Amino acid sequence: MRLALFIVTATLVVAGAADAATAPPPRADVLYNAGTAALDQGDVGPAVAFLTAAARLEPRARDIQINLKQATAAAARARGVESQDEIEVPGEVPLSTAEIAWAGAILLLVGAALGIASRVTRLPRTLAIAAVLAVAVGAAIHVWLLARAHAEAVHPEAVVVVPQLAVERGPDEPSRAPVVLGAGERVRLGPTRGGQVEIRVAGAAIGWAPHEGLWRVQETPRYTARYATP
Amino acid sequence: MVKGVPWISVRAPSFLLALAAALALLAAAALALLPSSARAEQLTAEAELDRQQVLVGEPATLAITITAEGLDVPAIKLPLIAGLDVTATEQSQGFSWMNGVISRSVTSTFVLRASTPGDYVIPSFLIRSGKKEAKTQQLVLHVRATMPRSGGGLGGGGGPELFARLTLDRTRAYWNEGVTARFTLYSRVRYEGAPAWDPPDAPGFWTEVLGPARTGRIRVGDVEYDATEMRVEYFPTRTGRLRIGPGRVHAQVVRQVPVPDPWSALGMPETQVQDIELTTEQLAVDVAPLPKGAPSTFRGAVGSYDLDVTVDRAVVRAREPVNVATVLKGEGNLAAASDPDVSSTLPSRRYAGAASTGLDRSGLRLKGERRRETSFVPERPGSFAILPVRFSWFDPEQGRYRTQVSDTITVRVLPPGSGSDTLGPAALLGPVAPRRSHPGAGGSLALVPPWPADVVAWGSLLAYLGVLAGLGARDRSLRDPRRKRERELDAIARELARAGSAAPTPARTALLLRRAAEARYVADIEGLPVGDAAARLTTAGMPAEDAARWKETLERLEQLAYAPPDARGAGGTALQAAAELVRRFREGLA
Repeated sequence: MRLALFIVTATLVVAGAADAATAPPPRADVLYNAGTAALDQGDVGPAVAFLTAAARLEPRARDIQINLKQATAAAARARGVESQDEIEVPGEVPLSTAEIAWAGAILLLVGAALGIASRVTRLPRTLAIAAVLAVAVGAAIHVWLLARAHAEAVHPEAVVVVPQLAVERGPDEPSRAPVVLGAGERVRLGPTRGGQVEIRVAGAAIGWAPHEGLWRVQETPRYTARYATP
Repeated sequence: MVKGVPWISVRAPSFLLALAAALALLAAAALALLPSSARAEQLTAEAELDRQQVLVGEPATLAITITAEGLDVPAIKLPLIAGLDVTATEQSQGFSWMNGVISRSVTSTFVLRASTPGDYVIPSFLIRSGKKEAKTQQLVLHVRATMPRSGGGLGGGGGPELFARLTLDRTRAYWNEGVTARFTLYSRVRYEGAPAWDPPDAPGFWTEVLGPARTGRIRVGDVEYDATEMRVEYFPTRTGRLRIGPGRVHAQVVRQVPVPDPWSALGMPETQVQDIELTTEQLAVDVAPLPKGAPSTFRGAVGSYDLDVTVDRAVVRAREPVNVATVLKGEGNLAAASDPDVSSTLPSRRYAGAASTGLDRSGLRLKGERRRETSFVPERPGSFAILPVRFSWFDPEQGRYRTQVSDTITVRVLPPGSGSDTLGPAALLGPVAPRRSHPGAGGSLALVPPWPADVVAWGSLLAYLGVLAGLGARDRSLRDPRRKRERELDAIARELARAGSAAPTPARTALLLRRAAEARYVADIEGLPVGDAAARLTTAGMPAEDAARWKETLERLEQLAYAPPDARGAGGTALQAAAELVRRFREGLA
């Protein structure tokens, strides 16, 4: 278990470093402007995708939050959800991944330093307990980040960008009625097979759909040129 | 001795606490990674035989279906059934997602064969998934030894050459529940062309023939036959005892006839074609009426169904049609199942299309899909709802009525437009924030933490755990009584090895020798006379030779301690003897 976690961590760290070294990092303002332009044009699927990506970089930015809420609500209405109460905007942690990671790292660093000091010198008992708590919370934060990055790597988040996306059964699965997803719905993706990708909702695979109808949140910077502001 | 040494350091609880906290967090993270749907909420298990009566050696198929809400569908392990040869053949999986509930089913099929006649009980067995349990029902397979001879068979040594049988998959059924009949012709002789079955008599049934006749070879007892089977599914249209059959089959059997003149036709045997007609037995089916308490939306569908309602668009312009399709899928008499009503909240033009039914006759049961489209044409902009569509049917496997209700589907109606491809700006709840002109933050969208933060975090954790482990090992070493005695003997040996003015006095050497003996043999000899001390040390394990030498050395040292200073020069031998004894003690302890 520990070895697997270590390997996954190392892979993610190396992959992250490699990405950072080869491609310019996406910027929140570019994604936000593309999302706002898509929202103006009534393309709620792309708008949700761009603004979700922008919120990953600037989770506390008020303008991004406002437009993401508008895009999610518009997408829900386009799917036929009329009641305001039924429109759910997914809640996110108001910190970016880097901020959470550094907070956890600082907690771990301070906790470890205090913990070591408490072992070699006399420190107040409350300080020693605080050190253990800081180490525990810091480790928990990084384990959670690791799990989240692993989930994103294995089942990346994606947004439906076409008005209706029929999620059909796989070729070796029994016949059943297709599930129809609407623009702006957020799902997770599984393996691809030909032009089809597995769609997952709430941790379970619900069928297969053409991947043209979906944008991965990670890959939204590729599409910003379509909604470039002059 | 170890008295006064704390066995548990005062700092140990914090280390244990940290370790326990880290383990708990790892466990919590692992639990959080599990898919939420892995927790099965409902579990059902069903077992079904394709026929209840077979001949010795003839295969019967047992299908076991396990359905679990959630994904944790347990594996099927068929218990041993005495006298039956069981072979697993295939496994199929089903999936449904309805009203946010994910349901999965796994069907495993097994071929059962018996070598001796009798009634074989397939016991009910328990399926577990988490804390949920389900039991299959008990089944009985009747295995017959005798083959039909009267009417249905033509004679021959070792069993009939040709006979016909009718088997039913059930002899009790509900009204409109399918009963699958197999009309099988078994043959050990050659016949020309394909056997022709007359439509079997079955008054009171709606009849559906399941595909073309199937052929194959089958072993009945010790005899192998060519079998031609026609499957027919009967749906009772009235209650009471109804009869199926007899079925009649016509075949042209090729027989060799004796040659009257051995010289004619060069002695080749002659054949002639004989038209034969075989009949099966007639079997009865007891048809029970459907139970009372049918829902108001029930219109006679019996079987296993699934309703799907789709709308071709959720946003439409006024005076453009919205097509609502109701799709009924499943097993049963779909042709007799009525379509559910579809209605909307808006007074709009409504057009009901014709229903189309597609049937699949390739399996053991009639199944298919019935589709009907209803179009609504809204006149004014706004929105309207397609009201929940209800469909009720009777499920004979569960013996109860079931109703499936679709969600309300809201359709937005935009003003009539120019017909452009896009639907224009989205309907928004409020003002949209303006675009930005200043640059924003950059970073990775992959949710991977920055590697410097990872290095700081995991490096700090490793350093902390490393220091804790190192200090813990040191504490354990310090608390080890054996190591403590070794260290004490080493210190005594070092002090005795000093030379010159730093060398210990005879009195000090005597004291060190006592302490060395105490450390080596864990015996308290403080204050005892030399003789008593030597005796106690011998009791504690000191060899008699060493005890005598220790006593002698100690006595000489004590004498030297009280001798005049000028007489102490002769004490070098005693000091060497003391150092030698301490060295032996140390070696003995190691």
